[in-house]
Amino acid sequence: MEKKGTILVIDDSPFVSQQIKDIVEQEGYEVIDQAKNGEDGIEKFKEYRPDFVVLDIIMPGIDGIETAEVILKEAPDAKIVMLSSLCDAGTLEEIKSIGLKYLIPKPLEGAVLLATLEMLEGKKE
Amino acid sequence: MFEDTIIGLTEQVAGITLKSKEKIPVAARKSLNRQKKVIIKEHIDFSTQCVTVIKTKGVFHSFILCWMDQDLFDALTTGMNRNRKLEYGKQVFYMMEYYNIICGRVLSKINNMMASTSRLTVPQVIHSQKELEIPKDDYRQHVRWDFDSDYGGLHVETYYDLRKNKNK
Repeated sequence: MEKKGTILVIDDSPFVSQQIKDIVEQEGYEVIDQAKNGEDGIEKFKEYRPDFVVLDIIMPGIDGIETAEVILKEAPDAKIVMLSSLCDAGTLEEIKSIGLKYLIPKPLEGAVLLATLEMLEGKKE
Repeated sequence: MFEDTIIGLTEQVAGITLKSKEKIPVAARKSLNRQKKVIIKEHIDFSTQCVTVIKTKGVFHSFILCWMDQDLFDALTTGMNRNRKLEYGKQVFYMMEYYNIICGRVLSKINNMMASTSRLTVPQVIHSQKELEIPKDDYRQHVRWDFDSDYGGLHVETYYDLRKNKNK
């Protein structure tokens, strides 16, 4: 199977991490690690430089939006998908204000995640 | 509207069917509002019902208390894990994520209705009644949703207040 890239999951929920792993690994992606909070996620991003980051908003410590801002300062081209149980217009505006485009609602749907990763990669519009 | 949201999400996430029960009567709600301190007691078994608190901050300022029967806890977390039983520690994390999902979706609807951006906290498991003493003045309204299922009951009790122009 064609290898599609590496993914760092930053989410404190083992349920979500397992879901993401189950969805993406059968499509050729590799989940290289999981971080349970923003601070750990930032360190692992610097260590691994993954192709993609799937990042939860509500986490212990710094939230996902602040985490994304730090990662984007480090790597402005980082491909980040935000994930949240909060999927209202205000939250979408907030993630757009920091330069991101994609917010996936929880519970996660496999087709939505995969399509979003392809859009980030530039393979779909 | 919110009960249907919770019922739909539970089916989607864990394959479990919930049914909404009758709402708490207005007279009982009035007696709760007269109390100086809202203390949850007696009807919750902290040793078996995995009581969880989520707070919201912003225009919709609230204290949300969630609890469920043990059998439902087992069935729900097993359902979330593709019908594979989990060890207890992981079950708790799965349950917390479930509450995050249902409360987040309800809050999203409230945010859209009110054009506001209230936020959720990380769910926190509560082990005793002492952790549930909340100043009544902070939360002037109250609503409770009770659900039933083949495995037992689920309860979501929200103490809330609407505040103007509050950001996170």
